[in-house]
This record gives sequence, C-alpha cells and structure tokens, in this order.
Amino acid sequence: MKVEVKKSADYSVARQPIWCPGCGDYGILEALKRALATLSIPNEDVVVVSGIGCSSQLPHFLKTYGIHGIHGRAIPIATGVKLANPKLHVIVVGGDGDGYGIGLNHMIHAARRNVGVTYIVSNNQVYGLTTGQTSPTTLRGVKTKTTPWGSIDEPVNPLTLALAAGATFVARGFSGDVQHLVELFTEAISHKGFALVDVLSPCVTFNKVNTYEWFRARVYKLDNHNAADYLEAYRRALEWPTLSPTGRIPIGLFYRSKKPTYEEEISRL
Amino acid sequence: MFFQLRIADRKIYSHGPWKRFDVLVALTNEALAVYRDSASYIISEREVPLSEIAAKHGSRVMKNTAALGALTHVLGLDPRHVEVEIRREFRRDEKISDANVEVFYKSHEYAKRIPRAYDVRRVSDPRLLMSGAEALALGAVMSGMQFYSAYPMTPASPILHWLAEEGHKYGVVVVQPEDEIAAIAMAIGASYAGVRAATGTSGGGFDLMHEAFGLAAMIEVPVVVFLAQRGGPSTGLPTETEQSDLRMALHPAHGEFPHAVIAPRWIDEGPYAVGKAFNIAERYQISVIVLVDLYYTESISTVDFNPGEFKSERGKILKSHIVREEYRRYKITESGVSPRSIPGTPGGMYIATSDEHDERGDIITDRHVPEVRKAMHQKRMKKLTQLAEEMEPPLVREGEVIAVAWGSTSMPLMDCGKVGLALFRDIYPLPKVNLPTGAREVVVVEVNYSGQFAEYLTSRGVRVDRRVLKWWGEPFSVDELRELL
Repeated sequence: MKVEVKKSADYSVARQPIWCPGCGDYGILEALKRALATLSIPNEDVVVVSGIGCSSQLPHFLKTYGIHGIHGRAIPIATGVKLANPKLHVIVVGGDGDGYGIGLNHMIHAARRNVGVTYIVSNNQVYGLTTGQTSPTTLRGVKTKTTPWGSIDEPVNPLTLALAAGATFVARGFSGDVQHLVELFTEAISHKGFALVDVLSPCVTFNKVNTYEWFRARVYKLDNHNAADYLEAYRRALEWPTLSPTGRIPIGLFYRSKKPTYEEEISRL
Repeated sequence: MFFQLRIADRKIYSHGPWKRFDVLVALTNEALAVYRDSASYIISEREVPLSEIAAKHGSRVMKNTAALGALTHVLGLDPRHVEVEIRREFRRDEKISDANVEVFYKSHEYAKRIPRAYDVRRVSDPRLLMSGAEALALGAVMSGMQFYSAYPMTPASPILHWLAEEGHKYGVVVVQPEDEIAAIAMAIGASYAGVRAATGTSGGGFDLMHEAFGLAAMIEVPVVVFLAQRGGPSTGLPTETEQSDLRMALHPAHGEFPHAVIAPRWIDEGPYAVGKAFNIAERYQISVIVLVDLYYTESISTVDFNPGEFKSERGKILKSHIVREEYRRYKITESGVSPRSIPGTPGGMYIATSDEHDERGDIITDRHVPEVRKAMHQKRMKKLTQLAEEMEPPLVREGEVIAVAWGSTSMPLMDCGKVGLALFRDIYPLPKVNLPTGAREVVVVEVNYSGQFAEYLTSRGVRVDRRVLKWWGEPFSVDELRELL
C-alpha cells in the first residue's frame, strides 16, 4: 500500500488557537501534529476526542475527525469510537481537571481494559478555563481562588495510578521540550493498547508556582531505565518534588508492556 | 411474591383479572392463606404432599417441580411435553435433570387422586415465547444495532443479558462499562464512528445520562436509549413497576433540543417499535428514548414475529470523497437535518462540539454571533416539525367511556372488553390525537401519582375528564379497570 508522506502542516487548520500566549498547550499541539506526520497517518483515520477545559479545545486546531465533548467523559466516548471502528487512531486530549478529577474513574477503567486509545493529559495543576481554581494535581500549600490559604489536598499521582490500574504504556513529557514530546507521542500512538502521556504543561496565567522555570530546574530525562520493569517504573513514578528527597521530576517512558487490547478481545468473542 | 400464568385460545395481552384464579399453586402457608378464597382449584401440601415427594425422589428444593407435576394433571396437559421443558431447563446437569423428572412424574401420579379440572390442548402451531426485554433486544439486533453499552440496573438488565449472550452472533459489541455516564458516552462515540448504537437503564441511571444525552443532541449523533421504569424516586421500588419517568423522558437534560419518545404498548410490537426508534434516530440525527417499565420488560408472552418488517433507514450519510473546504457538517437545511460524514471518509473531517457552533462545526463561544446561534438552534429544533408527522396516532376504539393510556398500561386495557380506547405508543412529539368526539368521558389511566400523561395531554389541548392512577408498584388488573372505568 502506498503511504502518503505527511508534514505537520498537513494536520493544521486555518483557525488559530485561543490559548494565552505562552500556554503549554501550544507545545502539545505542535508535538501532536509532528507525531502524526512522523507516522504519516491519513487525516481521516484520526479521531481526537476531548472533554472540557482549555486544552480540550485542541481538536478544533487539527485537521482530523474529533469530538469536543463534555467534562470528564472523553475516554468513554473515545472507547466507543475505537470499538466501533478499531482501524481508527483514537487520541484523547484533556486537562488534569478533566482527566484526573471529574473523569478519573474512566482512566482507571480504560487502563484495566487496555482499550487502544492514546491519552494525552495537559497537566497544568490548575483549573484554567474557569479562571484559576485548585485541581487534583495542585501541590499542597499552593494558593488558588478556591484555596486562598493553600491547598490542603494531597495531589493525585497520575503515573502510579495508571500503573496500578494496569496501563500498558505510561509516560510523562514536558511542554517545554517539544522534540521529546514528539518522540513520546509517536511511541504512544504506535502502542497497541491504552497509552497515557502525562504532559507537564504550564498555565502562564493562573499557575504562578509551576512555571516553565520551575519545571526546567527539576525535569530530567529517564536514562538507563528499563521500561519493561514494572516495579522500577512504579519507583521512578514516585519521584516528585513533594514525594522524594531528590526534588527532581523524571520525564520519558516509564513503562511499556504487551497485552491483548480490548478491541482484540472483543473481536474474538 | 407470585408468578401468574394465563392461557387462552385467542390473543390476550395481560394477566387479566386478579381477583379470581382458576388454579392456585401455593408453595407456602402464607400464600395459601392469602389467596385460597380466590381460586377454584388449589394445589398445596394439603392436596399433594409436595415436600415429601420432592425429598423422597430428588431433594426438598424440587418442591416446585412436584407442584408442576400436580398442575400438569389438573390442567390436563400431556406430561411428556412438560418433561421436555424440564430437561431443557436443567440441560447442564443430567443428574439434576433426571431427579426433577422423577419428582415431576411421581407428583403427577399422586395428583390423580384429585379431579382433573381442565383440558388444555394445542390449538395452533408453536409460537415464539419472549419477555418484553427480549422483544426489545431482538428488535435492536434486527434493526442492525452494532453497539450496546449498559450498566446493570433493574428492570433494564435483561436487555443487556440477552445481548451479552446472543449479540456477538449478530456482530453486536456489548460492553458493561463503569457507570451509566460511560455507558451513554460509549454509545455516542460508537454512533459518531458510524454504527447503530444504544444504551439501556432505569430512572436512576438515566438521571446520570442527562448531560451526555444533551451532548448527543448538540453534536447531532443518533443514540437509542432504553429507559425501563421502576418505582422512584431514588432507589424507590427496585423490583416493582411504575410509569413515573414520563415527565423526565419528555424533558431530559438542560436546554432545548429535539428528541423522541416511543413507548411500546405490548410485547408483540416491541421489536418494531425499536426498529422505528433506530430509523428516526438516524434519519433525524437525534436521540430516541424507548420508554418501557418493569411490567413490560419482565412480562412473558407468546408473540407473532415477522422478520420481514425491518427496514433500515440510515438517513443522510456521505460516503464518497468529500471536499473538506466545502463541507459543512451542520449545514442549515429546510428539514434541519444535515448530511453527516463518518470517520475514515476522506475529506469529511469535522469536530463535533458540545459548544454552540457554526455550520462547519467551529465553536462560536469566543465570538458574539447571535445570528449563528439563532439559526443553528432553530435548525435543530425544526427537526420536530417533520418528525411529528411520522408519529403514529393512538390506537382508537369507539366507546362511551374512552380509556386513554400509554405504554404497558395498554396491555390490561386491551383485555377489558367493551370500554373505548385510545392507546399511545408514539409519545413525543405528540402525534395527531383523534379521540372519538361523542364520548361521554375521557379517562387517562396510568401507573403514577400525578397523572403525568394526563398533564401532558392537557397541555396540548387534549380533553381529559378524569384520571385513574395507581402508584404502589403494581400494574392495573383487568377486573380493577372494569370497576374503575
């Protein structure tokens, strides 16, 4: 079969994103277009599903099929798309509020079923669209509109959660390193089964704590890490400034394994 | 708890009168005490030592099989036919099957000491026996449904059970997701991707589905929802019937949008009602609620079934190459319906968005364009105009008193004899109502406290003189209706 070689511009639309200048979502959008181009996936075979939030507007800036749905429900919508037509590449995008707050249970269940969708979370540790309330990944002590004296909630660790739920691909990237994101997204989209890529993605307007500078001082790429080692992946996923004494944040591929996908299991019935 | 069986040599729709039984099979003393005066013939421990026969030839739990042996004698049935059914029921374990058959024949033999009361014989060819839930599931499969996701909830679960068991033979993907929100969200995703999709639940589950139901309306993705009512609110009467979710079915979710409500009246018409639901869902790109209740899903009846009656009408789907720059997924049209593309179709790419959008599907929340909102909202709502023409008027029978009902309450009314009728299957949008003008009284009969259908009809200018209501978990019986009408 002849495959048309794509450029990232082939996935662009005329419409410009409405995100604030400097928003981490630009990095995610650019990296996603480049990853799709790397894989040269026909535009009509891509369905990008999102929920509600700043980052959930992303499908509108891509020349693909897509559903910009309701808050927290992108994963089950995407699951329906994938099961109806497993040939489609189904990519879910959304924020930490959408995916780790209101929609968290769906991630757990999609992970344990190993549904073949790629889940990209733009994790900015704050509710941006609704102008700056606390989110499930807001660090303890951080002041937001709804935590004026500092958050007292322990933040969610999406990577250990996904690992515990049985996800077969778990990675973390950083919006400030687009080329690295392209590599992660390319791997994630190529992966058979549920793939989570948590992307540290600064909100320049409402999160004055977890800024690009804050992340640049802390992130480092996983090196000499065996992504087939589940327990090691779990150990590395626990590295986080508030959890481990190193104060550093690893990015890269934490874990990858092979398991039959949900759509394969269903087709065998 | 009791199980009621009614046999006739003509079409019957319900369990008829409740105050008088031909034969009572009482398995407990309590049942005997409550119902003994209502029955012409009684089978209990007094007439046949059921427990003793069961224990001696099988085990104590086979007391019901012993009762079946006695009943077979009293009804004058050929015991060999019943044996076949017993063996079918216990086909997974030969020993248990043999023991039950032994208990059955021993009890049948013993019962010959009491007189045979009836002579039940075959009067026609065998017909399909199915529950209301099975009728709906069968209708879905016959309609070409390819995806069903549902979270268990009585009394909708039997639809899921049947599809889980049989669906794969017809290429139906069946999923039990984590909750009802995921159930409808998956159905929406599958439908967007181009297959006929449905979900099913009861009132409490549908409460959770409202937001996604509105999403389907906004992105104009067709979904069928089986809504099987039980007593509410909250957990309510989980295993008893009610028709109290009509108001919710008429007005699900926030905002204004078109949808349809169809309430099959008896089991025979269940499959075809589902066929219509899928067709109008796809042709109008709307969601359709198939509104039933526990009395409907759990009743079992012999039915006439004609597979030739199903014709799939999928509406306007663009299949060939589309020029993306020209394609307007939500094009303003006279009917309100715009041709849709399916993922995988080159050039048909568009984003289905829950935000208000323009003809291309681009969101308008970042610009103030009231004329776009005005036109787009009107386009969607306009679907109801043409749809109303397709809604079937009620089944009407002349009479001095007209009993008006919807859904399953039609079943006992069909067995009531002389009373005039107006029985609705298609509920929303309301079809043309053609009540006989000369009627002395128009009485709306429904299983809820507030008379929701009566209110609905009144609001549409239909004459309603009296309401007959029941809200304690039981459907109406024929004798009860005869007294009340």
